[in-house]
Amino acid sequence: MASFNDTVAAFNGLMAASGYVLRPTSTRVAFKSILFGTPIFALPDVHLCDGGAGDIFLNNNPDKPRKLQAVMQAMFDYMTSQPMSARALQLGDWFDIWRVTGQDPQHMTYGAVQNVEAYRGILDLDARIGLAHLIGNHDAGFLNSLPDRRASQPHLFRSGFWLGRSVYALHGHQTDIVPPIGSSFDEAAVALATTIAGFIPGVATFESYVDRLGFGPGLGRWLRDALLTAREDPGPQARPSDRSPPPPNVRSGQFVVRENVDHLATIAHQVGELPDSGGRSADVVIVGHSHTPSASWTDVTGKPVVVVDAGGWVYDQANLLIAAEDTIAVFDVTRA
Amino acid sequence: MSRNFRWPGVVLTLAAVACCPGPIRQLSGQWVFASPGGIGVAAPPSTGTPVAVASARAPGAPPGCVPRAEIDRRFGKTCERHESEGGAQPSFELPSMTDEVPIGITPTPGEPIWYCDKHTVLRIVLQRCEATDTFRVSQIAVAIAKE
Repeated sequence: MASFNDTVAAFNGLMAASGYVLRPTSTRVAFKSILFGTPIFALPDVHLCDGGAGDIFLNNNPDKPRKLQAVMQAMFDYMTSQPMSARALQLGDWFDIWRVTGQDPQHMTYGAVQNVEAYRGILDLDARIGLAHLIGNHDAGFLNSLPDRRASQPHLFRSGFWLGRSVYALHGHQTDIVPPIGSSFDEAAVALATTIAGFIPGVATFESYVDRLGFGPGLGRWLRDALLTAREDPGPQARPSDRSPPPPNVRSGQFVVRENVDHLATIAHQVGELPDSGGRSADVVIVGHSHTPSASWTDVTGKPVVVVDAGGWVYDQANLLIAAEDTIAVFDVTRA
Repeated sequence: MSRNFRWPGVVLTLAAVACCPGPIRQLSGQWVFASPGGIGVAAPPSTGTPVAVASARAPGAPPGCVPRAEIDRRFGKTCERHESEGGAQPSFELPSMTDEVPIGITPTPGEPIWYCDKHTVLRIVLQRCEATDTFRVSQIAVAIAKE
């Protein structure tokens, strides 16, 4: 089994050829036991737009696509040089369809993104890796139509993914419609349904929406519909340091008090209870969406669950999450 | 005087436009999608047989296999918009939330490419050549609008 340090060193070695390097952020959690027997590489929100002045990924910086391509090339090289050695995932908002087209299209309307010359190498590696993608609120159009180069792999576009027995990944937008503080999960679902009902054409009453939502099986519909109602990404979050003792399964880590951490853990818990999860249960939840790397934790589900936010690639940001053996951490990608 | 002097030139120009046929359309020497044969530079057509394609083989690639980047370089931009080939949400069913991310790489088995112009929609299906990053053409579909 690859140790965390060995995995990071190997990844850095592969990136060196491109002139980039991983630098640690303060987001790093080491557990007392091995939770990441298979290393995980997770790319947070990228937001590929049309390459123009409003492209929040490109940000008028020609180095940005090269940097992302270097990271993806290292992912590819790592997994080809050591077959069946790691999992790679992109955490949603891969394209910013909503920003480019202003809608959730029924058909493929991503040419403005796919034809950007500077993104050719990125999209090429996306297809070569067969990168798994979470669906975010800015690329909810993937529910209806996939990018051209990935049209043959719909099973790799999901609103939630397991990454082993005890790690779950969500985009993280699912809690933007915030239920009342302190509410239980079913109360939260009802509160969310009340809000969503106001957006769904043809749903005349809140009750009819709740009937349609159901519970358990309705969880997926809730998450799907949340894609279509939460538009704006959250602004900078005030996340003060969490001064309480760390959870008992953690050896070291800096935690913050994060908004919605209970709800993110609860969603993963609910998914774990679905029969198709095969008894998996989340000790760690990986999310994106907020663009702010952080680690937080909760025991709202009856056991400690650590939620790690992997950051993003918008404006000047370039983050990569790596988890291996007993440690999970977020890095900045910078020039060597 | 000067007006009369120009008339012969104008007449000759109009005559040339009216009388001359359009350019000879040709495939030979052009990059083409051909079936069978794949992608590459077309040889002159001959006696109704399939157009032969000069090898567009990339170094180290299997015969008839071309890098996707080369295809894009030769044929240009793809459609800005086209009908969906399907999304993550099949029909009205919700995508699973309980799948696990596969270990290792899972390269696309193939890729469709859609090219559009004013009158033509062209959909090519590429098949990945083994584990390489090169492709061969497995299907070509063309729609040509009359107007």
